[in-house]
Amino acid sequence: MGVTMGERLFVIGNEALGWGALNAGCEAYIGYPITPQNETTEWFAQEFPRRGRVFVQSQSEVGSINILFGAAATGARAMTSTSGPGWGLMQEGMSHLVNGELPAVISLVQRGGPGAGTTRHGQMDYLSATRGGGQGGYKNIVLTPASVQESHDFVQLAFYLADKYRNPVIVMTDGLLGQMAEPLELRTLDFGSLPQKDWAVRGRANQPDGIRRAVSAMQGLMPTPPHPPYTGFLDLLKVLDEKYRKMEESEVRYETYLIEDAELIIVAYGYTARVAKEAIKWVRREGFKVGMIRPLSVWPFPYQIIREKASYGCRFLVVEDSLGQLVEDVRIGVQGRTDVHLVGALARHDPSDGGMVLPDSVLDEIYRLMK
Amino acid sequence: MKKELVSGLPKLWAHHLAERLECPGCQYPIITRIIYDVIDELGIEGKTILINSSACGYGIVLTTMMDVMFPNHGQGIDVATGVKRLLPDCFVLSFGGDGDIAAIGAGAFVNAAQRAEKYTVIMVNNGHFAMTGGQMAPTTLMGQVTATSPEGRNPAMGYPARMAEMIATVQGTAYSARGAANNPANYLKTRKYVKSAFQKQMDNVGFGFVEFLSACPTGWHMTPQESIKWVEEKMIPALPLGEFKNVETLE
Amino acid sequence: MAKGEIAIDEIYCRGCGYCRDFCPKKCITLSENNFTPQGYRLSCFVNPEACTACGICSFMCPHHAIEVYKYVEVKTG
Repeated sequence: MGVTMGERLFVIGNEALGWGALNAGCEAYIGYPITPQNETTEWFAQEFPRRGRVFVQSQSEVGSINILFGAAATGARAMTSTSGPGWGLMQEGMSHLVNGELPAVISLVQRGGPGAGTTRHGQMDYLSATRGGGQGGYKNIVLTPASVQESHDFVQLAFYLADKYRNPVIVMTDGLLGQMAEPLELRTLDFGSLPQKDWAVRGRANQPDGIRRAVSAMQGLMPTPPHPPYTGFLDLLKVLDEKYRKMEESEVRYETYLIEDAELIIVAYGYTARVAKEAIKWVRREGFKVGMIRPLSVWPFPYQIIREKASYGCRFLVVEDSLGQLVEDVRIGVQGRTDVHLVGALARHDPSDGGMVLPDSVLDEIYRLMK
Repeated sequence: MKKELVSGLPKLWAHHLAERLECPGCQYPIITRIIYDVIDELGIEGKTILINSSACGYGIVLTTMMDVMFPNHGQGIDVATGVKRLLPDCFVLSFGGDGDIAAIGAGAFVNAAQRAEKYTVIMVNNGHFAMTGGQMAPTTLMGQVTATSPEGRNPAMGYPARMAEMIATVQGTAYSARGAANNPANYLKTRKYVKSAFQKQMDNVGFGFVEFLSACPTGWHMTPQESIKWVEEKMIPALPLGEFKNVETLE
Repeated sequence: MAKGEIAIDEIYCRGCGYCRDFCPKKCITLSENNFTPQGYRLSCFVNPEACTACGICSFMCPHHAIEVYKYVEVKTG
């Protein structure tokens, strides 16, 4: 189709999500219009059918997440994308994907909230993405790119992790990352081998052993012999508990910037991490020892590095475009050993929906804390 | 002289998989028998994926050796969209209840037809939400007493949904019919409707729908005989049987 | 002369009576004295001579408790 591996494009983050899915071998995309991620849905509408892959525009995000359940049940790599109110509608569906142990990728391009919030950027879905907004309590990996290239690369990692754990994975960006254009190098990333999807439905005669498969959103409630072998609810809870523990042990990802000698460590992800880095570069020139921990996965969260630094006496400053969500995880990490401060949405440079957390606000707070 | 089996356990019923869960006189297993018989007759058992979002019908769908899916209430039709789009050569049947499809799943139902999805939906209509204790559903008849219409449904609560007629008006629908099994003749007619609906999927024409009026003695607090009479004297006059759409092409 | 016969499964019968109601030859009743292990009135094949092996009792039974057999001449020679 005119694009080869290694080729560099200049695209917006929302489209980079699509390129990443294509390079991950995604076979199906289901979406519904919602700002600020419509470019993603439109990218798939443009690029998937002509490559023989499935594109469905659903009737709502409830439709999207449930069609995704069906697509994932066939063993195909499948994805949806959404923002704000659409994400709200997907909560029940997320819970069912976890119960059904289905791999799926959901990209969440955050906008302001609650309610209709704003149609632009925000970082206000952190808690619902990491705590699980749907029923029953569950965990899912949440990856947080901060650039167009990372948007592309992390979607591929998301498909790998979703297949590895048979659990949905969220790629969480925001309206700014989605709308800004940067160079993108197209590449297919190899994260390792994966087991066959023995559990998928494909028609009994197409099953290698000829035995029927059952994919259910009611595992633990209703038996579905002979696959899978859950005889009761606690069987399912044990399996999920084990899954979450493995994820917490193995899938923490973060990047550090100048934390070795830092007295104040900023924790930020997505666009505010790029803003914070600018502020850090500025104050470093003035001799202030500030660094940053940038989570690449906000679930599982890098508690350990934060706990270590807290025990050495570092103070923490969270920079996030919300009233305070990521800051809760940092407080959990420091375990009361040190103080944690917040530059949040109320520090936006402009009171309109276009207002952003800019380096000025971060600088003001750094000076307040360190001078 | 020897004996030849004319009728017994449906061939695709794997009764060893689960105990029988249905109430005495429930007609969910009747429509299930029809479905299994037609699938067997068409020879498509090996490529069928049966998606059940009904509540009362669950235990019944469990007892088959075909690939099955059990999504949650209201989700069966969207799930079928995902499965059929990825596996267009498979035969996909979404089997649900009336509360499931006419209430919470109505958005999925109408839009699947509007998108001319190429699979079949069968809706079992017993006039209420049976499994959860008999609450009013969109299909509840005027005057019918349910757990949430204790004085009987009246105009302030709207009028019964006519799903088969409604979906027949959508261009993406290739087949829409309503059947019942209040007597053997109607059982056989329903079997014909189901076979026609399945054939539409085999011919890849468009969205197929069969509504099945089912007696529900337990839910209606009636004897099985009274419940059959209810289907005959109350449901069928309000929800007539027959084919509402049957086309070879959607154009 | 019966054209066939039926076999009623005592375990699965739930005494709903549809077999009795729909049999065109009135071959079946619900017993007053016999019950299934679950306590349902057992369906009984009381008029076997009239059976035409139409199969209606079997396919109208919600509990798949009835098998219907027809008699087939075995040709010899």
